[in-house]
Amino acid sequence: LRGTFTAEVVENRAERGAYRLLVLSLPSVFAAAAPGQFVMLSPTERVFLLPRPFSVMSVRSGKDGALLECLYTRVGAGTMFLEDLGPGDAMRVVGPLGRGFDLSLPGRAVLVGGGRGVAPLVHLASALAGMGRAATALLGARTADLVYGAGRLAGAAVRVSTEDGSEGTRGVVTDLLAGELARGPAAVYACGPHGMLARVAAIAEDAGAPCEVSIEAHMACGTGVCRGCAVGVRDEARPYRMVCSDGPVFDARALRWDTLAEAH
Amino acid sequence: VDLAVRLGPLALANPVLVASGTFGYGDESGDLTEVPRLGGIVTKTLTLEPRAGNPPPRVAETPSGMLNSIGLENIGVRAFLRDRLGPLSRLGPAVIVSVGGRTIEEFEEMMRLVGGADGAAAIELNISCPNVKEGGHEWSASPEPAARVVAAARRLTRKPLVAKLSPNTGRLADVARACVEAGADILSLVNTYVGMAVDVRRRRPVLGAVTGGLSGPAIRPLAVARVHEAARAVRAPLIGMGGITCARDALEFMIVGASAVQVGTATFADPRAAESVLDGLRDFCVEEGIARITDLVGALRAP
Repeated sequence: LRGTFTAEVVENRAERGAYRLLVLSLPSVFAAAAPGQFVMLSPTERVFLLPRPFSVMSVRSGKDGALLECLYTRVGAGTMFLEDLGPGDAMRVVGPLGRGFDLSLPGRAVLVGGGRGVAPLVHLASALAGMGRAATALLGARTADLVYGAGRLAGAAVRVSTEDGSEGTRGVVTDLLAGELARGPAAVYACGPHGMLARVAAIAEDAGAPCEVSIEAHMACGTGVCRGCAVGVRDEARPYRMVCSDGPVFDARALRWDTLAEAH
Repeated sequence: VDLAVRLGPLALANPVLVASGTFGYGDESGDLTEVPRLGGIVTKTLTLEPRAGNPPPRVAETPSGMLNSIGLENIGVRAFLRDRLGPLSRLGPAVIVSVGGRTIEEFEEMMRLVGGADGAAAIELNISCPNVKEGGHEWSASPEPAARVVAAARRLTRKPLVAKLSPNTGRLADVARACVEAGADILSLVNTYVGMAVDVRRRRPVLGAVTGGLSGPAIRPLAVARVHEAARAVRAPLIGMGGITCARDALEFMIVGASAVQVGTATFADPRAAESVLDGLRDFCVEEGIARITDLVGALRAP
């Protein structure tokens, strides 16, 4: 399924707060990208050296192929380049890549997103809705303008928290999680800052709920060949896994959280 | 245009190879690029026993370059020979098996395993990895240890032997001569330059292993100068590399004396980078009216 593609920019627009949405046109095979998978994006004319990984936020069949949506904010040279793209511009896309979420985990799905970590959960919510599975989404951010995607989570009951109380419940999103898990058997799917994910993992473990997390890493190849995006796992025989090819979604219990840096 | 090249005993369909460490074991990227078009594949460096690699973070982007400190993570030579070499050798490109070792005895043991392996077109001795505590680039920092590794390997194989050299030495010409005298058929250069980046807010090295190897376009002029230096020191064929992203970059290496090139870091952004280099070489020859690519090797004129 994966491949090296030249995609055309269909749209590149400002969204709420600092968020931006990049919509790319790709061959129709791309519509099979699974929730939790990602793409490596780079300019076709080399401006920066390494490609940048982005979650598949959504993918749908368009009139001439598939339309891929990626969510981004400006964090460095790569995303600054993305901001300048306009309709008709070309981008190199390698993907879809990585191991996505396990949709067969038992129980009610509880999605936990921190800031732009909501991106892969949008695709996940859509897939769960298609399977007729009930889902609750907990979205957290520091302030209201950093909350994104509440209207994009198909069929999920959405609860929002902000640290300053400017939207939803005042506090951090993990404060909502324990109560949510007390309501009955659930499977947790989370993406966001690694500090948040570590707390999500601990709360899920206490509740006996299976938990999958999508993590970030600085990558070079995105395909497993360079062995650059190592993360520590609880396995003495093989102490590292690659975020790009073994993940980016991992069983939270497998990870050694002390080896996870914040990617940005 | 005739793109075939001959490097001593090693014949290649074209002069564009993918560099060790940037293309895995060679059999993983068939869906991302047309592997059969490559002139050769240099495998991830294999060691006698599997290695887990260095603690993360292992990569960082720097201006026009990247630092890596992977630490020779690999599946070990036995698993490679058992599971990967056979299918890999049927893809088409010449397979150059890269091996590394901490001691002469380890190199000898490796050579007993790969020195006669069916499907290995040549063996590249990685005596230049900057990211391991033992058995790294100190092997090719001076002539004597480099010659000891090459001579030991030479006794145990009749396959073409490539010595991959480090640029982290003031004695490159001496090292190059010593490797050829010890029996290397071909020299490949350069491996990465030792580099370091610092996270100023955390006051920590960016890389988990503190230092790493710098690659990418940032090192290209440095690498071209080292290949030029080696070409003046030895008559053995050279494989040039260091920041090649396009045919023009590859031609710089060939004109100063490299018979072939390896594309490495550029493959990360574009899995088809080596193919683009190959297409560009053919186009250049057509434009310049050059019938054989080998006519460009060492074609450097006086300034």
